[in-house]
Amino acid sequence: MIPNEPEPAKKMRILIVEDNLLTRTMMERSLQKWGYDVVSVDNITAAMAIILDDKIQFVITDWIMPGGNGTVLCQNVRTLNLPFYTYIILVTFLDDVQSTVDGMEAGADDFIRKPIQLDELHARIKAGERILDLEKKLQENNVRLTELSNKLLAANEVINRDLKMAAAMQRSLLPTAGSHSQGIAIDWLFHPSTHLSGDIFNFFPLDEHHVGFYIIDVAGHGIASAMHSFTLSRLLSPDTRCSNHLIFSLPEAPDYPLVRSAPAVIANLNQQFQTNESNILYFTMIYGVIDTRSRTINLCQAGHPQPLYLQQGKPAEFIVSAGLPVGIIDDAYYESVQLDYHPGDRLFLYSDGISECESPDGEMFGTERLRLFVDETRHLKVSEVIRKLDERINSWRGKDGFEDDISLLVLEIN
Amino acid sequence: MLINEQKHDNIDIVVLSGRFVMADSPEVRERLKVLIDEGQGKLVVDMSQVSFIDSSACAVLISAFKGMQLKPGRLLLVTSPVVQSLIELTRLHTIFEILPNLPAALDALSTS
Repeated sequence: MIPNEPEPAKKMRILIVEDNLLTRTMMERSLQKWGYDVVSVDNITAAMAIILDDKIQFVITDWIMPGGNGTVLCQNVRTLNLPFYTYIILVTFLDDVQSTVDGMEAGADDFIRKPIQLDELHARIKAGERILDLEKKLQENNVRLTELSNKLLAANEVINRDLKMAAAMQRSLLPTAGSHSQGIAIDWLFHPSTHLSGDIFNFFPLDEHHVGFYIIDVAGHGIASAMHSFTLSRLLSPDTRCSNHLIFSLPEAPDYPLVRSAPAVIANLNQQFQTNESNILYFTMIYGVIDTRSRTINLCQAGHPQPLYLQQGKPAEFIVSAGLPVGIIDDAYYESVQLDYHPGDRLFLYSDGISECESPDGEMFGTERLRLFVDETRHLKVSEVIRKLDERINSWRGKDGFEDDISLLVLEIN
Repeated sequence: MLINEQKHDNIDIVVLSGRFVMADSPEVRERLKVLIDEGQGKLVVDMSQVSFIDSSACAVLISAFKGMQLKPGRLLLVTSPVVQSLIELTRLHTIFEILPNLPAALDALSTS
Protein backbone atom coordinates (compact mmCIF):
# COMPACT_ATOMS: atom_id res chain seq x y z
CA MET A 1 0.00 0.00 0.00
CA ILE A 2 1.33 3.42 -0.89
CA PRO A 3 1.90 5.46 2.24
CA ASN A 4 -0.40 8.45 2.77
CA GLU A 5 -2.92 7.12 0.31
CA PRO A 6 -6.36 8.11 1.54
CA GLU A 7 -8.31 5.22 2.97
CA PRO A 8 -11.01 3.98 0.61
CA ALA A 9 -14.47 5.24 1.55
CA LYS A 10 -16.15 2.92 4.00
CA LYS A 11 -18.66 0.64 2.30
CA MET A 12 -22.21 1.56 3.10
CA ARG A 13 -24.09 -1.10 4.99
CA ILE A 14 -27.53 -1.98 3.57
CA LEU A 15 -30.11 -4.09 5.33
CA ILE A 16 -32.35 -6.25 3.17
CA VAL A 17 -35.64 -7.39 4.69
CA GLU A 18 -37.20 -10.02 2.44
CA ASP A 19 -39.04 -13.25 3.30
CA ASN A 20 -38.63 -14.73 -0.17
CA LEU A 21 -35.29 -16.56 -0.19
CA LEU A 22 -34.78 -16.32 -3.94
CA THR A 23 -35.38 -12.57 -4.15
CA ARG A 24 -33.26 -12.02 -1.03
CA THR A 25 -30.31 -13.96 -2.41
CA MET A 26 -30.54 -12.21 -5.76
CA MET A 27 -30.51 -8.79 -4.08
CA GLU A 28 -27.67 -9.73 -1.70
CA ARG A 29 -25.45 -10.78 -4.57
CA SER A 30 -26.18 -7.73 -6.67
CA LEU A 31 -25.58 -5.31 -3.80
CA GLN A 32 -22.32 -7.03 -2.89
CA LYS A 33 -21.26 -6.85 -6.51
CA TRP A 34 -21.94 -3.09 -6.44
CA GLY A 35 -19.66 -2.77 -3.43
CA TYR A 36 -22.11 -2.57 -0.52
CA ASP A 37 -21.84 -4.30 2.81
CA VAL A 38 -25.04 -6.32 3.01
CA VAL A 39 -26.99 -7.84 5.91
CA SER A 40 -30.29 -9.51 5.39
CA VAL A 41 -33.16 -10.86 7.47
CA ASP A 42 -36.59 -12.30 6.66
CA ASN A 43 -38.83 -10.45 9.16
CA ILE A 44 -39.26 -6.96 10.59
CA THR A 45 -38.58 -7.87 14.23
CA ALA A 46 -35.08 -9.06 13.40
CA ALA A 47 -34.71 -6.03 11.09
CA MET A 48 -35.56 -3.59 13.87
CA ALA A 49 -32.99 -5.18 16.19
CA ILE A 50 -30.23 -4.86 13.58
CA ILE A 51 -31.17 -1.26 12.71
CA LEU A 52 -30.81 -0.32 16.37
CA ASP A 53 -27.68 -2.36 17.09
CA ASP A 54 -25.74 -1.51 13.92
CA LYS A 55 -27.19 1.97 13.36
CA ILE A 56 -28.31 0.97 9.88
CA GLN A 57 -28.96 3.98 7.65
CA PHE A 58 -30.17 2.19 4.53
CA VAL A 59 -32.97 -0.41 4.39
CA ILE A 60 -34.60 -2.16 1.45
CA THR A 61 -37.68 -3.93 2.70
CA ASP A 62 -40.37 -6.06 1.13
CA TRP A 63 -43.88 -4.77 1.69
CA ILE A 64 -45.94 -7.86 2.46
CA MET A 65 -44.30 -10.29 4.86
CA PRO A 66 -45.53 -12.73 7.52
CA GLY A 67 -45.04 -11.30 11.00
CA GLY A 68 -45.41 -7.65 9.92
CA ASN A 69 -45.34 -5.58 6.74
CA GLY A 70 -42.59 -3.28 5.50
CA THR A 71 -44.86 -0.29 6.22
CA VAL A 72 -44.94 -1.26 9.91
CA LEU A 73 -41.14 -1.34 9.93
CA CYS A 74 -41.15 2.16 8.40
CA GLN A 75 -43.54 3.44 11.06
CA ASN A 76 -41.53 1.87 13.88
CA VAL A 77 -38.29 3.40 12.65
CA ARG A 78 -39.83 6.84 12.26
CA THR A 79 -41.59 6.71 15.63
CA LEU A 80 -38.31 6.07 17.42
CA ASN A 81 -36.95 9.37 16.10
CA LEU A 82 -33.42 7.97 15.97
CA PRO A 83 -30.39 10.27 16.16
CA PHE A 84 -29.39 9.15 12.62
CA TYR A 85 -31.55 9.08 9.51
CA THR A 86 -32.53 5.73 8.01
CA TYR A 87 -33.39 5.74 4.32
CA ILE A 88 -36.03 3.15 3.45
CA ILE A 89 -36.96 1.71 0.04
CA LEU A 90 -40.17 -0.32 -0.03
CA VAL A 91 -40.33 -3.21 -2.51
CA THR A 92 -43.84 -3.96 -3.70
CA PHE A 93 -46.09 -5.77 -6.13
CA LEU A 94 -48.73 -3.20 -5.44
CA ASP A 95 -49.20 -0.79 -8.28
CA ASP A 96 -51.83 1.73 -7.27
CA VAL A 97 -51.72 5.32 -6.09
CA GLN A 98 -53.25 4.53 -2.68
CA SER A 99 -50.44 2.06 -1.88
CA THR A 100 -47.83 4.66 -2.72
CA VAL A 101 -49.59 7.17 -0.46
CA ASP A 102 -49.82 4.62 2.35
CA GLY A 103 -46.16 3.74 1.99
CA MET A 104 -45.05 7.36 2.05
CA GLU A 105 -47.25 8.16 5.02
CA ALA A 106 -45.71 5.24 6.87
CA GLY A 107 -42.34 6.88 6.30
CA ALA A 108 -40.85 5.22 3.20
CA ASP A 109 -38.46 7.33 1.15
CA ASP A 110 -38.72 5.47 -2.15
CA PHE A 111 -40.37 2.47 -3.87
CA ILE A 112 -39.31 -0.19 -6.27
CA ARG A 113 -41.69 -2.55 -7.96
CA LYS A 114 -41.39 -6.28 -8.36
CA PRO A 115 -40.13 -7.85 -10.46
CA ILE A 116 -37.01 -5.91 -9.57
CA GLN A 117 -35.02 -4.44 -12.44
CA LEU A 118 -31.43 -4.47 -11.19
CA ASP A 119 -30.40 -1.29 -13.02
CA GLU A 120 -33.33 0.53 -11.48
CA LEU A 121 -32.51 -0.82 -8.02
CA HIS A 122 -28.93 0.37 -8.33
CA ALA A 123 -30.04 3.82 -9.48
CA ARG A 124 -32.48 4.12 -6.58
CA ILE A 125 -29.84 3.07 -4.06
CA LYS A 126 -27.46 5.71 -5.44
CA ALA A 127 -30.19 8.34 -5.20
CA GLY A 128 -30.73 7.33 -1.57
CA GLU A 129 -27.01 7.57 -0.90
CA ARG A 130 -26.99 11.11 -2.24
CA ILE A 131 -29.81 12.05 0.10
CA LEU A 132 -28.06 10.46 3.08
CA ASP A 133 -24.91 12.31 2.16
CA LEU A 134 -26.77 15.63 2.09
CA GLU A 135 -28.44 14.71 5.35
CA LYS A 136 -25.03 14.04 6.90
CA LYS A 137 -23.64 17.35 5.69
CA LEU A 138 -26.70 19.14 6.98
CA GLN A 139 -26.30 17.53 10.37
CA GLU A 140 -22.60 18.45 10.51
CA ASN A 141 -23.46 22.04 9.60
CA ASN A 142 -26.16 22.10 12.24
CA VAL A 143 -23.68 20.96 14.85
CA ARG A 144 -21.23 23.65 13.74
CA LEU A 145 -23.94 26.31 13.76
CA THR A 146 -25.12 25.29 17.21
CA GLU A 147 -21.55 25.45 18.50
CA LEU A 148 -21.05 28.85 16.87
CA SER A 149 -24.33 30.16 18.18
CA ASN A 150 -23.44 29.00 21.70
CA LYS A 151 -20.09 30.75 21.46
CA LEU A 152 -21.75 33.93 20.21
CA LEU A 153 -24.32 33.83 22.98
CA ALA A 154 -21.57 33.38 25.56
CA ALA A 155 -19.53 36.25 24.07
CA ASN A 156 -22.62 38.44 23.93
CA GLU A 157 -23.31 37.67 27.56
CA VAL A 158 -19.81 38.79 28.53
CA ILE A 159 -20.15 42.00 26.50
CA ASN A 160 -23.56 42.74 27.96
CA ARG A 161 -22.30 42.21 31.48
CA ASP A 162 -19.41 44.59 30.80
CA LEU A 163 -21.73 47.17 29.29
CA LYS A 164 -24.10 46.98 32.25
CA MET A 165 -21.21 47.49 34.64
CA ALA A 166 -19.97 50.45 32.59
CA ALA A 167 -23.51 51.87 32.47
CA ALA A 168 -23.73 51.67 36.27
CA MET A 169 -20.37 53.47 36.48
CA GLN A 170 -21.64 56.14 34.13
CA ARG A 171 -24.74 56.69 36.24
CA SER A 172 -22.59 56.98 39.34
CA LEU A 173 -20.88 59.99 37.72
CA LEU A 174 -24.18 61.89 37.58
CA PRO A 175 -25.13 64.27 40.39
CA THR A 176 -27.70 63.18 42.97
CA ALA A 177 -31.20 64.02 41.77
CA GLY A 178 -32.93 66.40 44.17
CA SER A 179 -29.62 67.62 45.61
CA HIS A 180 -28.85 71.32 46.08
CA SER A 181 -25.95 73.64 46.64
CA GLN A 182 -25.95 77.28 47.74
CA GLY A 183 -29.68 77.63 47.19
CA ILE A 184 -29.76 75.97 43.76
CA ALA A 185 -31.57 72.64 43.46
CA ILE A 186 -31.25 70.19 40.58
CA ASP A 187 -33.10 67.28 39.10
CA TRP A 188 -32.61 65.35 35.90
CA LEU A 189 -33.69 62.77 33.33
CA PHE A 190 -31.27 60.37 31.66
CA HIS A 191 -32.00 57.65 29.09
CA PRO A 192 -29.05 56.22 27.18
CA SER A 193 -30.11 54.89 23.75
CA THR A 194 -27.98 51.81 24.36
CA HIS A 195 -26.39 50.76 27.66
CA LEU A 196 -23.90 53.59 27.46
CA SER A 197 -24.50 57.22 26.64
CA GLY A 198 -22.52 59.96 24.97
CA ASP A 199 -24.45 62.42 27.14
CA ILE A 200 -23.19 63.49 30.53
CA PHE A 201 -23.98 66.34 32.92
CA ASN A 202 -23.03 67.48 36.37
CA PHE A 203 -23.57 70.13 39.03
CA PHE A 204 -21.14 70.97 41.86
CA PRO A 205 -19.97 73.78 44.14
CA LEU A 206 -16.81 75.49 42.86
CA ASP A 207 -16.14 77.49 46.05
CA GLU A 208 -18.22 79.16 48.80
CA HIS A 209 -20.17 81.35 46.41
CA HIS A 210 -19.83 79.72 43.00
CA VAL A 211 -21.62 76.69 41.62
CA GLY A 212 -20.74 75.08 38.29
CA PHE A 213 -22.81 72.93 35.95
CA TYR A 214 -22.49 71.43 32.54
CA ILE A 215 -24.24 69.24 30.01
CA ILE A 216 -22.32 67.51 27.22
CA ASP A 217 -23.43 65.50 24.21
CA VAL A 218 -20.63 63.66 22.43
CA ALA A 219 -21.47 63.08 18.74
CA GLY A 220 -22.91 59.65 18.09
CA HIS A 221 -23.83 57.33 20.91
CA GLY A 222 -22.63 54.02 22.28
CA ILE A 223 -19.22 52.97 23.51
CA ALA A 224 -16.89 55.38 21.69
CA SER A 225 -19.02 58.38 22.63
CA ALA A 226 -19.35 57.14 26.22
CA MET A 227 -15.58 56.74 26.60
CA HIS A 228 -15.22 60.34 25.55
CA SER A 229 -17.87 61.46 28.03
CA PHE A 230 -16.10 59.57 30.86
CA THR A 231 -12.88 61.44 30.14
CA LEU A 232 -14.66 64.78 30.05
CA SER A 233 -16.44 64.06 33.28
CA ARG A 234 -13.10 63.45 35.02
CA LEU A 235 -11.61 66.62 33.58
CA LEU A 236 -14.55 68.83 34.45
CA SER A 237 -14.09 68.37 38.16
CA PRO A 238 -13.86 71.15 40.74
CA ASP A 239 -11.32 69.00 42.59
CA THR A 240 -8.00 70.65 41.71
CA ARG A 241 -6.20 67.40 42.45
CA CYS A 242 -7.95 65.94 39.36
CA SER A 243 -7.88 68.90 37.01
CA ASN A 244 -7.38 72.63 36.81
CA HIS A 245 -9.97 73.13 34.09
CA LEU A 246 -12.55 74.72 36.37
CA ILE A 247 -10.46 76.10 39.21
CA PHE A 248 -6.94 77.35 38.76
CA SER A 249 -4.44 79.59 40.46
CA LEU A 250 -1.90 82.04 39.15
CA PRO A 251 1.80 81.23 39.60
CA GLU A 252 2.25 84.36 41.73
CA ALA A 253 -0.58 83.33 44.09
CA PRO A 254 -0.67 79.54 44.16
CA ASP A 255 -2.83 79.43 47.30
CA TYR A 256 -5.51 81.68 45.91
CA PRO A 257 -7.83 79.54 43.74
CA LEU A 258 -9.79 81.25 41.02
CA VAL A 259 -12.93 80.14 39.23
CA ARG A 260 -12.38 79.91 35.48
CA SER A 261 -15.03 81.65 33.39
CA ALA A 262 -17.41 79.54 31.31
CA PRO A 263 -16.04 80.63 27.89
CA ALA A 264 -12.46 80.02 29.07
CA VAL A 265 -13.32 76.49 30.20
CA ILE A 266 -14.86 75.67 26.82
CA ALA A 267 -12.09 77.36 24.83
CA ASN A 268 -9.53 75.23 26.71
CA LEU A 269 -11.45 72.04 25.99
CA ASN A 270 -11.69 73.10 22.37
CA GLN A 271 -7.90 73.38 22.17
CA GLN A 272 -7.46 70.05 23.87
CA PHE A 273 -10.06 68.02 21.98
CA GLN A 274 -9.65 68.99 18.34
CA THR A 275 -11.07 66.30 16.08
CA ASN A 276 -8.68 64.64 13.66
CA GLU A 277 -8.33 61.60 11.39
CA SER A 278 -8.42 59.10 14.24
CA ASN A 279 -10.97 60.85 16.44
CA ILE A 280 -13.86 62.52 14.68
CA LEU A 281 -16.09 62.79 17.74
CA TYR A 282 -16.78 66.44 18.45
CA PHE A 283 -19.12 67.35 21.28
CA THR A 284 -21.67 70.01 22.04
CA MET A 285 -21.91 71.42 25.54
CA ILE A 286 -23.06 74.13 27.86
CA TYR A 287 -20.97 75.14 30.82
CA GLY A 288 -22.26 77.56 33.38
CA VAL A 289 -20.94 79.30 36.46
CA ILE A 290 -23.44 80.58 39.00
CA ASP A 291 -22.27 83.40 41.28
CA THR A 292 -24.52 83.04 44.30
CA ARG A 293 -23.41 86.41 45.74
CA SER A 294 -24.17 88.55 42.70
CA ARG A 295 -27.05 86.17 41.84
CA THR A 296 -26.01 85.73 38.24
CA ILE A 297 -25.60 82.76 35.92
CA ASN A 298 -22.91 82.99 33.25
CA LEU A 299 -23.28 80.29 30.69
CA CYS A 300 -21.46 79.47 27.50
CA GLN A 301 -22.98 77.40 24.74
CA ALA A 302 -20.93 75.33 22.29
CA GLY A 303 -23.24 74.05 19.56
CA HIS A 304 -25.63 72.65 22.17
CA PRO A 305 -29.42 73.06 21.91
CA GLN A 306 -30.49 76.39 23.38
CA PRO A 307 -31.37 76.10 27.07
CA LEU A 308 -34.78 77.21 28.28
CA TYR A 309 -35.10 79.79 31.02
CA LEU A 310 -38.33 80.06 32.94
CA GLN A 311 -38.85 83.14 35.12
CA GLN A 312 -41.79 84.04 37.33
CA GLY A 313 -44.51 85.80 35.38
CA LYS A 314 -42.81 85.46 32.00
CA PRO A 315 -43.12 82.88 29.25
CA ALA A 316 -40.29 80.35 29.01
CA GLU A 317 -37.60 81.64 26.66
CA PHE A 318 -34.62 80.22 24.82
CA ILE A 319 -31.20 81.51 25.82
CA VAL A 320 -29.61 82.27 22.49
CA SER A 321 -25.89 82.45 22.00
CA ALA A 322 -23.57 81.31 19.28
CA GLY A 323 -20.65 78.98 19.69
CA LEU A 324 -19.38 76.10 17.59
CA PRO A 325 -19.33 72.58 19.01
CA VAL A 326 -16.06 71.69 20.73
CA GLY A 327 -13.35 70.22 18.51
CA ILE A 328 -14.35 71.65 15.13
CA ILE A 329 -11.87 74.48 14.60
CA ASP A 330 -9.11 75.34 17.00
CA ASP A 331 -9.51 79.12 16.95
CA ALA A 332 -13.26 79.06 17.62
CA TYR A 333 -14.48 81.96 19.75
CA TYR A 334 -16.71 81.39 22.75
CA GLU A 335 -18.66 83.97 24.72
CA SER A 336 -21.02 83.85 27.63
CA VAL A 337 -24.54 85.01 28.30
CA GLN A 338 -25.36 86.44 31.73
CA LEU A 339 -28.69 85.87 33.46
CA ASP A 340 -29.79 87.66 36.63
CA TYR A 341 -31.77 85.14 38.58
CA HIS A 342 -34.59 85.31 41.10
CA PRO A 343 -36.15 82.78 43.43
CA GLY A 344 -38.35 80.31 41.56
CA ASP A 345 -36.47 80.64 38.24
CA ARG A 346 -35.79 77.43 36.40
CA LEU A 347 -33.11 76.64 33.82
CA PHE A 348 -33.58 73.61 31.55
CA LEU A 349 -30.57 72.11 29.77
CA TYR A 350 -31.29 69.20 27.42
CA SER A 351 -29.69 67.13 24.68
CA ASP A 352 -30.96 66.96 21.09
CA GLY A 353 -32.14 63.42 21.90
CA ILE A 354 -35.25 65.18 23.25
CA SER A 355 -35.80 67.82 20.58
CA GLU A 356 -35.05 65.36 17.76
CA CYS A 357 -36.99 62.45 19.24
CA GLU A 358 -39.12 61.15 16.37
CA SER A 359 -42.73 60.00 16.58
CA PRO A 360 -43.74 56.88 14.62
CA ASP A 361 -44.71 59.25 11.74
CA GLY A 362 -41.20 60.72 11.70
CA GLU A 363 -42.21 64.04 13.28
CA MET A 364 -39.64 65.50 15.67
CA PHE A 365 -40.61 66.50 19.21
CA GLY A 366 -38.99 69.86 18.57
CA THR A 367 -37.80 72.66 20.83
CA GLU A 368 -41.03 74.68 20.66
CA ARG A 369 -43.07 71.77 22.00
CA LEU A 370 -40.56 71.48 24.83
CA ARG A 371 -40.80 75.22 25.53
CA LEU A 372 -44.59 75.06 25.75
CA PHE A 373 -44.36 72.02 28.02
CA VAL A 374 -41.98 73.83 30.38
CA ASP A 375 -44.33 76.80 30.37
CA GLU A 376 -47.48 74.77 31.02
CA THR A 377 -45.97 72.80 33.88
CA ARG A 378 -44.52 75.82 35.74
CA HIS A 379 -46.91 75.30 38.69
CA LEU A 380 -45.64 71.73 39.28
CA LYS A 381 -42.66 70.66 41.35
CA VAL A 382 -39.54 70.05 39.25
CA SER A 383 -39.54 66.31 40.02
CA GLU A 384 -43.14 66.17 38.77
CA VAL A 385 -42.28 68.15 35.62
CA ILE A 386 -39.53 65.65 34.85
CA ARG A 387 -41.79 62.66 35.46
CA LYS A 388 -44.42 64.13 33.13
CA LEU A 389 -41.86 64.99 30.45
CA ASP A 390 -40.54 61.43 30.62
CA GLU A 391 -44.09 60.16 30.02
CA ARG A 392 -44.62 62.67 27.24
CA ILE A 393 -41.40 61.81 25.39
CA ASN A 394 -42.03 58.09 25.74
CA SER A 395 -45.54 58.37 24.37
CA TRP A 396 -44.23 60.66 21.58
CA ARG A 397 -41.68 58.01 20.69
CA GLY A 398 -44.41 55.38 20.67
CA LYS A 399 -42.05 52.41 21.02
CA ASP A 400 -39.40 51.06 23.36
CA GLY A 401 -35.95 52.60 23.28
CA PHE A 402 -34.64 55.86 21.86
CA GLU A 403 -32.54 56.44 18.77
CA ASP A 404 -30.30 58.95 20.53
CA ASP A 405 -29.33 59.51 24.14
CA ILE A 406 -31.75 61.59 26.15
CA SER A 407 -30.69 63.87 28.96
CA LEU A 408 -32.22 66.80 30.76
CA LEU A 409 -30.79 68.78 33.67
CA VAL A 410 -33.05 71.22 35.50
CA LEU A 411 -31.74 73.88 37.91
CA GLU A 412 -34.16 75.66 40.20
CA ILE A 413 -33.41 78.71 42.30
CA ASN A 414 -34.74 78.39 45.86
CA MET B 1 -29.38 55.39 2.96
CA LEU B 2 -28.17 55.49 -0.64
CA ILE B 3 -24.77 56.82 -1.69
CA ASN B 4 -24.30 57.79 -5.31
CA GLU B 5 -21.03 59.09 -6.71
CA GLN B 6 -20.85 61.21 -9.85
CA LYS B 7 -18.23 63.24 -11.58
CA HIS B 8 -18.73 66.52 -13.39
CA ASP B 9 -15.48 67.58 -15.11
CA ASN B 10 -13.00 67.67 -12.24
CA ILE B 11 -15.67 68.00 -9.55
CA ASP B 12 -16.61 64.99 -7.44
CA ILE B 13 -20.23 64.80 -6.40
CA VAL B 14 -21.63 62.54 -3.69
CA VAL B 15 -25.40 62.38 -3.59
CA LEU B 16 -26.79 61.04 -0.33
CA SER B 17 -30.44 60.14 0.15
CA GLY B 18 -32.54 58.70 2.95
CA ARG B 19 -31.54 58.68 6.60
CA PHE B 20 -27.93 59.63 7.26
CA VAL B 21 -27.17 58.26 10.73
CA MET B 22 -24.54 56.51 12.83
CA ALA B 23 -24.87 53.19 11.00
CA ASP B 24 -23.99 54.84 7.65
CA SER B 25 -21.24 57.05 9.00
CA PRO B 26 -18.21 54.73 8.54
CA GLU B 27 -19.00 54.04 4.89
CA VAL B 28 -19.70 57.66 3.96
CA ARG B 29 -16.59 58.75 5.85
CA GLU B 30 -14.45 56.27 3.93
CA ARG B 31 -15.93 57.20 0.53
CA LEU B 32 -15.46 60.94 1.18
CA LYS B 33 -11.89 60.36 2.37
CA VAL B 34 -10.99 58.51 -0.85
CA LEU B 35 -12.54 61.29 -2.97
CA ILE B 36 -10.71 63.98 -1.02
CA ASP B 37 -7.37 62.11 -1.19
CA GLU B 38 -7.64 61.22 -4.89
CA GLY B 39 -9.76 64.09 -6.24
CA GLN B 40 -8.96 67.54 -7.52
CA GLY B 41 -9.93 69.35 -4.32
CA LYS B 42 -13.45 70.01 -5.53
CA LEU B 43 -16.19 68.08 -3.78
CA VAL B 44 -19.94 68.55 -3.46
CA VAL B 45 -21.96 66.56 -0.92
CA ASP B 46 -25.56 66.80 -2.07
CA MET B 47 -27.91 66.07 0.85
CA SER B 48 -31.04 67.59 -0.66
CA GLN B 49 -32.65 64.11 -0.47
CA VAL B 50 -31.58 63.36 3.11
CA SER B 51 -34.61 62.94 5.38
CA PHE B 52 -32.82 62.72 8.74
CA ILE B 53 -29.32 63.36 9.97
CA ASP B 54 -27.73 62.80 13.37
CA SER B 55 -24.62 64.05 15.11
CA SER B 56 -22.43 61.13 13.99
CA ALA B 57 -23.29 62.04 10.41
CA CYS B 58 -22.35 65.66 11.16
CA ALA B 59 -19.04 64.39 12.52
CA VAL B 60 -18.40 62.79 9.10
CA LEU B 61 -19.08 66.12 7.37
CA ILE B 62 -16.72 67.91 9.74
CA SER B 63 -14.03 65.30 9.17
CA ALA B 64 -14.42 65.82 5.40
CA PHE B 65 -14.35 69.59 5.89
CA LYS B 66 -11.08 69.35 7.81
CA GLY B 67 -9.60 66.92 5.27
CA MET B 68 -10.44 69.33 2.47
CA GLN B 69 -8.88 72.25 4.35
CA LEU B 70 -5.62 70.33 4.63
CA LYS B 71 -5.56 69.36 0.94
CA PRO B 72 -6.35 72.32 0.34
CA GLY B 73 -9.62 72.27 -1.55
CA ARG B 74 -13.26 73.21 -1.31
CA LEU B 75 -16.12 71.17 0.10
CA LEU B 76 -19.58 72.44 -0.74
CA LEU B 77 -22.77 71.17 0.80
CA VAL B 78 -26.31 71.14 -0.55
CA THR B 79 -28.81 70.62 2.25
CA SER B 80 -32.42 69.60 2.74
CA PRO B 81 -34.44 71.61 5.31
CA VAL B 82 -33.89 68.89 7.96
CA VAL B 83 -30.13 68.83 7.40
CA GLN B 84 -29.99 72.62 7.33
CA SER B 85 -31.82 72.85 10.63
CA LEU B 86 -29.43 70.48 12.43
CA ILE B 87 -26.43 72.27 10.94
CA GLU B 88 -27.82 75.59 12.13
CA LEU B 89 -28.71 74.22 15.56
CA THR B 90 -25.09 73.22 16.08
CA ARG B 91 -23.85 76.48 14.50
CA LEU B 92 -21.96 74.54 11.85
CA HIS B 93 -23.39 76.76 9.09
CA THR B 94 -20.80 79.29 10.20
CA ILE B 95 -18.00 77.08 8.89
CA PHE B 96 -19.59 75.02 6.09
CA GLU B 97 -20.06 76.43 2.61
CA ILE B 98 -23.70 75.70 1.80
CA LEU B 99 -25.27 76.23 -1.61
CA PRO B 100 -29.02 76.13 -2.38
CA ASN B 101 -28.82 73.39 -5.04
CA LEU B 102 -26.46 71.17 -7.02
CA PRO B 103 -26.22 73.38 -10.16
CA ALA B 104 -25.30 76.35 -7.96
CA ALA B 105 -22.63 74.29 -6.23
CA LEU B 106 -21.17 73.08 -9.54
CA ASP B 107 -21.23 76.61 -10.85
CA ALA B 108 -19.36 77.86 -7.78
CA LEU B 109 -16.68 75.20 -8.17
CA SER B 110 -16.22 75.49 -11.93
CA THR B 111 -15.54 79.21 -11.73
CA SER B 112 -13.21 78.89 -8.75
